[in-house]
Amino acid sequence: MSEFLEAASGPIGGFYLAAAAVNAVAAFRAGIHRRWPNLAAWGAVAILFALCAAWSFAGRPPELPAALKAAFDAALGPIALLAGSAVALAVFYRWRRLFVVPAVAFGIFNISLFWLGASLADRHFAAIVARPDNLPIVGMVYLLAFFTWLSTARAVANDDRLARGEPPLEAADTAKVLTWPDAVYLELIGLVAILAALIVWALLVPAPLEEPANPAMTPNPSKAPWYFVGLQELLVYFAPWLAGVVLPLLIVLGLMAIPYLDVNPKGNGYYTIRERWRELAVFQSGFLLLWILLILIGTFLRGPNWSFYGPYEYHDPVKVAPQHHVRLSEWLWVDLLERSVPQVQPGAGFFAEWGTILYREAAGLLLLAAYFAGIPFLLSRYGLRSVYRRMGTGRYTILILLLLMMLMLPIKMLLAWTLDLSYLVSIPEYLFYF
Amino acid sequence: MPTPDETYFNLRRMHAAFALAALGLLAATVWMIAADHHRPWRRYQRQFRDRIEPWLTEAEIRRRQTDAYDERREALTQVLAEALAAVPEGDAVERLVAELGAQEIDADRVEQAYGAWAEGAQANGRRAFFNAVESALDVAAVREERAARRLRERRGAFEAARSAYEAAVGRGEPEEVLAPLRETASAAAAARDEAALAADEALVDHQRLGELVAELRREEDEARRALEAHVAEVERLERLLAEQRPHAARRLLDLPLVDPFGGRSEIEQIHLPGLPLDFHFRKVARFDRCTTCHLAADRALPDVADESLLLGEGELTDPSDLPHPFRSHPRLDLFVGPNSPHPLGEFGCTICHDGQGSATGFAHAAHTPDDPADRARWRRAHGWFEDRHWEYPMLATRFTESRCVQCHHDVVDLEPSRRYPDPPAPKLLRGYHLVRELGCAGCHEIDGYNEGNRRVGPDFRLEPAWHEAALALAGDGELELPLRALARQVAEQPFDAALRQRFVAQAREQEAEAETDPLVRIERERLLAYLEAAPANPGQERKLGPSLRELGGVLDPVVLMAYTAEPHRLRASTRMPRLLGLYEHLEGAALADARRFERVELLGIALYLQTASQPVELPPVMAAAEPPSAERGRGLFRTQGCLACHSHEAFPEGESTFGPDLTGLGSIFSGAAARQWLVSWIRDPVHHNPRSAMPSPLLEESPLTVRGELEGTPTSDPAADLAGFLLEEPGIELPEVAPVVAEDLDELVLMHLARLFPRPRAAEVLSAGLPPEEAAALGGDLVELTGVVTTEDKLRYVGRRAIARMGCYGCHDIPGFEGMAPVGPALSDFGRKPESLLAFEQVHRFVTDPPAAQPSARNAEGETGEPPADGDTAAAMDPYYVEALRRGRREGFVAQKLRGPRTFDYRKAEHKDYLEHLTMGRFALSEEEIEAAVTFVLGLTAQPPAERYVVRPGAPQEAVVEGRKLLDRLGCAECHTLEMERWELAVDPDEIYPPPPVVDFPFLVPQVSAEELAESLQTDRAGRAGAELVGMPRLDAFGEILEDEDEWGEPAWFFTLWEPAVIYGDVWPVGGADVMVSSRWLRRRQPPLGGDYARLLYPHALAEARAAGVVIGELEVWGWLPPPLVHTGAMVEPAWLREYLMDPSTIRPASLMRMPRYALSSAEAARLADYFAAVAEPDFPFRASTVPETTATEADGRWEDRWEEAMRLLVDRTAFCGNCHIVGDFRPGEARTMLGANLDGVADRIRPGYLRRWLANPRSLVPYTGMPANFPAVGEPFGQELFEGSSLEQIDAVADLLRHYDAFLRRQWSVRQWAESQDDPP
Repeated sequence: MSEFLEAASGPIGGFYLAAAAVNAVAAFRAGIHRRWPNLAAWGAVAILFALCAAWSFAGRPPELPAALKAAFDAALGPIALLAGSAVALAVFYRWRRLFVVPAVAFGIFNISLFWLGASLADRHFAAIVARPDNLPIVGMVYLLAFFTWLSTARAVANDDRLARGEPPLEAADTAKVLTWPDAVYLELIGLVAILAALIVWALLVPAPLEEPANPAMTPNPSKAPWYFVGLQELLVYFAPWLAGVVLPLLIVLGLMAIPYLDVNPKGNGYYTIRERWRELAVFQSGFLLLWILLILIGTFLRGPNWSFYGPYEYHDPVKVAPQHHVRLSEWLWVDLLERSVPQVQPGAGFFAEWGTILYREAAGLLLLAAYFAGIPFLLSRYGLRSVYRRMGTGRYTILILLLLMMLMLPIKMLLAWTLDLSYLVSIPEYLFYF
Repeated sequence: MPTPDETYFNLRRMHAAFALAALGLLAATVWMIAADHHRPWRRYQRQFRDRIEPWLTEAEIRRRQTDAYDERREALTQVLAEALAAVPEGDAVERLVAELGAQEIDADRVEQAYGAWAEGAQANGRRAFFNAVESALDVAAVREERAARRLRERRGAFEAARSAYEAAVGRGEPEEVLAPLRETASAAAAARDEAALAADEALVDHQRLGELVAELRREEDEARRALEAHVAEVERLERLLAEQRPHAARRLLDLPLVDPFGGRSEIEQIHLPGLPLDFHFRKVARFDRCTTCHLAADRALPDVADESLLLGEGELTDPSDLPHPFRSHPRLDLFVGPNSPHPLGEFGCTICHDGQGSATGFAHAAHTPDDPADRARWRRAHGWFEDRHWEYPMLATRFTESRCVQCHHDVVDLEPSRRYPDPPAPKLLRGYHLVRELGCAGCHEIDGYNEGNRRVGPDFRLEPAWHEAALALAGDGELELPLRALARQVAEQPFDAALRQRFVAQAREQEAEAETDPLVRIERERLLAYLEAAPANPGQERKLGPSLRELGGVLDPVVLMAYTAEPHRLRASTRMPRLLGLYEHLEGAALADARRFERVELLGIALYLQTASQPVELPPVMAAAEPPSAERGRGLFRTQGCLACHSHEAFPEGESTFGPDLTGLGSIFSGAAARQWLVSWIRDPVHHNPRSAMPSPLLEESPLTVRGELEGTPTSDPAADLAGFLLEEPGIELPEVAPVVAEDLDELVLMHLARLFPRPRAAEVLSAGLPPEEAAALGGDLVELTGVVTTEDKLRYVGRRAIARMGCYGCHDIPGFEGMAPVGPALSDFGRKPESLLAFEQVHRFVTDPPAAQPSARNAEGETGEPPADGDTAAAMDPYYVEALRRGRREGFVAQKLRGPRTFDYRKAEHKDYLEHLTMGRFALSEEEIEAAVTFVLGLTAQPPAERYVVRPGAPQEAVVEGRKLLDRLGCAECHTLEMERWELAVDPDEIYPPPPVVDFPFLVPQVSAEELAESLQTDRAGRAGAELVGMPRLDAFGEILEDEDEWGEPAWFFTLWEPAVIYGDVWPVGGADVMVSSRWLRRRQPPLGGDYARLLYPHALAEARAAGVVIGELEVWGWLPPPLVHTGAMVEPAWLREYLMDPSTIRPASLMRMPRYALSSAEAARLADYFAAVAEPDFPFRASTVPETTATEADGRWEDRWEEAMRLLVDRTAFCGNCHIVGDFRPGEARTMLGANLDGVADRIRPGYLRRWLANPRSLVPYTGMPANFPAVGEPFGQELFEGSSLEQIDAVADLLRHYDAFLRRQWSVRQWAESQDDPP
């Protein structure tokens, strides 16, 4: 038995045991409510997990086939991840009626548990995912999935009720509740339970102590705290001032602006999808795809030298992922026009300098102008005419600029990964890059 | 508003949930407490406190409770019983009764009781008597008490009255109020005084009675005190044991939750603010908590192996058997122990061991397993994991010694010493010497100083190559002759800064006037600039390899190539690493490239060395009458000191590895020119290389065969004889030289040029050459490619590049490479270099891949001529290192660099061009040697701890250390014994016999203090007394230790003392009888330091003397051999020693060989002289003894008047000095074998105190000397007809004459008279 399995099979067995217990509870509940097919299904799954646990404790946890792992590693590039997640989200919302069925969701949950357990038997996967400081991120994924599912399930129910002309569930629930015992008692129970859970967590997974910080030897990779890893990921595609200053600011301002931009009274105080699916689409793709997904990529899939590693890949510091990123101006001048890039002459005056810069970066500037000015203008005329009318120029402009800025991220990612294009506009003389 | 009683949630379910959560919290809390209670360190402490500690105490009690202890206790109890039984004398009782009477205490009862007791009428008369005495005493005590109480009362009354009066005064009351108050106070004071007197009287009465009673009880009290003192320690231990033994209350206190309030487990820590940890932003005080688990680390347990410690079946019997973590430190004499140089409280643990001292868990303390088996066991037993987050994991046990270096920068102070005869750090020392002997520092700088010239570690830097630069200029034919002569002078005294500057100035002057080729000018300017530079703190090591400045031109190029390619094939023992043909890691195109280009480089190197060499200036050949004889040479090789440093297969007994093995030199010095050069080299190596490690041997035709005559023309040339012997063997067949392939050569040159020029330009340079101006501007090796480029030019260029690439100049003096920087990365702080910066590449695959997958299995065979070094494959490798390579550990890296330096190119070379291949050579090292070297290199941290921890020797210690380093470098210890053999004995007092009585002059009698004598009488538990002998055992004619049998039929040896020994109360003087040592006494033999050659030569000299019919004692033969240097500091004058070392003259004509002449600077000679001074003299630095022009005795005119008489003793051929010694031009009649030193130089050479002792009894200083004691301490003095007076007077007179020899001569000869006689016509 390898040293890894020797150490890991116990915890993996514990994991399966917990999974079996969850399913046993589910089966028990199904039994109480006399839902016999569910009882059979979850009972069987519980037994399967218990068997997995037994194998694990015996030192032979189930593992994914090597070919499958290799396929995962090969397939999970940033673009595939982004596109795949977008598609998965779309599929989820399009066929939400299927997914909100608790049995379906619980089945998917079980599949994910088995996948996680089998993956943890891979030492490279475990080295990253089971790191004590990455465990909360795993928890976060499941929590997010659960709440997304919960909101969708209630939205589906509400939509159905609204379609039937009934008020939404939340509107029906008008009873007043008591501070004591209904609110405070609940909090007390939560407090006690969480305290117990934290103690157990601390006992099972002691906090890792790392080496003393050394300004001369930064760790490789140097990762931001988990909540900033998404921003750190942006640094790959944007200039530091943009990724580190402008974008976070825009995110905050954008979130603050939502109540002023979105004045649609529908959906206030209850879950719904049908009544405001556009808003939901924008928010969920911004939050799940452009924020949470980046955190997951940064936490689990970025390794030494900030290279991209598959989930089952050894984080080998030797791996080199060359990035020959080219600027748009270079591309235009050298490759397309076969002329050298115009250079600012030393000692040039202000106007000469800016003349050269603008001349050099004309293509990028035009592109940006088209993107940030042309597209809003055209949309106000043709695509989003009604929205423009409804919101007025000011709010429309803010909204569309925020949306375009958000969209800029996947666009830049695509440009970088497919065309090796780093900056559309780069003015190193003034440290401006876009 | 009515309170709604309906709740939103079901309360029952809420309660259930709450109960569940609360139970969960309780369970978690219990789990937390349990987990804390069972932390391993608490477990260890409980185990230690409950089991081990009582066991240790019990063992200590048993150790003390010997039979002797019991006997003494019995005896003391007996004494007490006797004292109790004895009836006190009547006098004392009478005095008591009288005193009682005087104090008016009823004495009748006492008297009656005494009477009854004395008569024995009463059964317990003693008790009745003392009861009566005590009650009488009690009366006095009561009186005293009452008087004292009355005094206290009256004092109180007085104080009250006084304060009332003073308060009234303070209030300003009128006199009529004050007066009565004053009266009252005065009356109270009087009453108080009265009471005080009474109290004193009562006290005195009581005391007096008490003394009388004590008198009655004196014997009893004394006996009781003696008994109590005797058993006190054991009783204390027994009480301790009772406390330590676990009992119920203690167990209660150890329960969880209770233990913080009285439990015995607690984290122990040592606070070490002086040994901070470097946390990069700031230094943080070190806390070592290791002793939390390693509880007995500092427990010294004497006599641990004693059988009295047996505690019964199945129990531990020996603290060294204690399992970890309870084992005590194995070297308490050196570490941890309170009396050791590194006490625990001051040094802690992690400063030596590394690791996370603050941790209290096994894994987090960063323990490091010493082998993979430990590793697996630890994982299972202790949940161990490799904590990569602690930068300084504990050193594996095998490397622990490496940390000594961080404070002991000189390392040689860790040699075994008298105080620490067990070597403190043998592996480290071996590694240190290996690193020095292999010349690692030639390529890898090991700089012991940081920028501020602060010492941070061992210093191995090469000395500045000034002599090389000077030699290069001395061989520059275009310079004027005087300038070249000056250059030669600089080469001989390179450290003379003034000389260097003068030379540079003159050379610059000449340069300015002349017109020279730019290429020559730039090279000359480089050398001059180098000579001009004056580093503040230059290195001191010399290059190890032979200088190729001349030799390259003298040797046959075929030899040069063969040697360079496969050094071990020509000389199996060579230290030169193998640099070419290391292919085990290569395959495919990379292998083919290496083969092709190495062949070209080899030719290039040979050609470059040959053509760049400077012409040899051979000194004039000695006009020898006889042709060289290999047979004579063979004899000389043994007797003239060659064997001291060199070995040769003709002399299997010679094992020195100080110099190279000289077997098979015939292969190397094959041509006539080479032979001639060798003769010249043997005669005077220093002439050929001013920084040669080999001294000029000052050969004599030697030995006994020609000893009859002192003078006369030499009949043969010893150097030629020696060369004849060395070249006798024709040597091995050298391989054919493959012709160079022109395409390969061009490709290689092009590869080099492509690094300097764009490729098309490189091709141009290759075909058309460089203009000289451009070459001069670019400098370096390109000078070879100027003008028309011939094949030879290209070869020279390639050769030169190859030398630069492989760093050959790190060991050899090669023309054109003077003062080049080392080629490899520095090692100065390797021990702390982050492991992530080490390029392990794929080397772990090389060692773990099955051998069949390794290229070496396919192509090593038959390629090398050298058997594949051990450890080429993982099978032969210590699994520890395989693991270390897999884990990317520093130690694995260095070890593999030594084992297979190029294997780091495994599966890497295929994508490198040939010039990027690794170039480190492979040394022929055993696995043990590799580990020793790694141990040393790991110690190079360049991070010394706080100043007070770093070993900064005082002046004498520093002189010893510096001298020791120099002695090591010069190899003095190959011939000379620096420290005599030491034998530790444990003698049985019943078996030892006293020394034969010796009566000697009082100043010769060894001074032994009473304490030392008393100490020698102490016996251990086995009843043996310890003793130490310093000197040498007697050897037989074959050089083996002379063995005899003692009375019990056991082997016994004879030991000649060189220092007085104290054996069981007897003092054995030096020069007296040998000590017969029974093998049953010998506890430890510490071999002598140095002198192997003298011992090797001893049987031979003896045999030769016997064969030649010379009558000489077995001991006296030692006098022909290199002398031990143990007394040198006390014996000779430092000034003389310095001079002698720089240019040794013959002192003892009888000795078989002369001291060779080393190329020493005066500073180095002074360092050696200081060393001997510091070793011998406590009052270092010793100054020259001043010989006063007039001594006190001389002032009386006494000795001065008797100088002439003393001179008679000096030249007396019958019994005194003249029998053996030369005095001025006076020759004794004896053959040369018995010749003693010329006495005319004694004043400069011998220190006065030593001289007097020497004259009185030479054997008390040098036991083997052939010089007899001419001035007997007892009996009639000799030579009364020559010098009338006692022996002591004779000694003083002769000593005085020798010290004032010059003054004596001046008296004999008057310049004035001579001048006047010259004036008179004949």
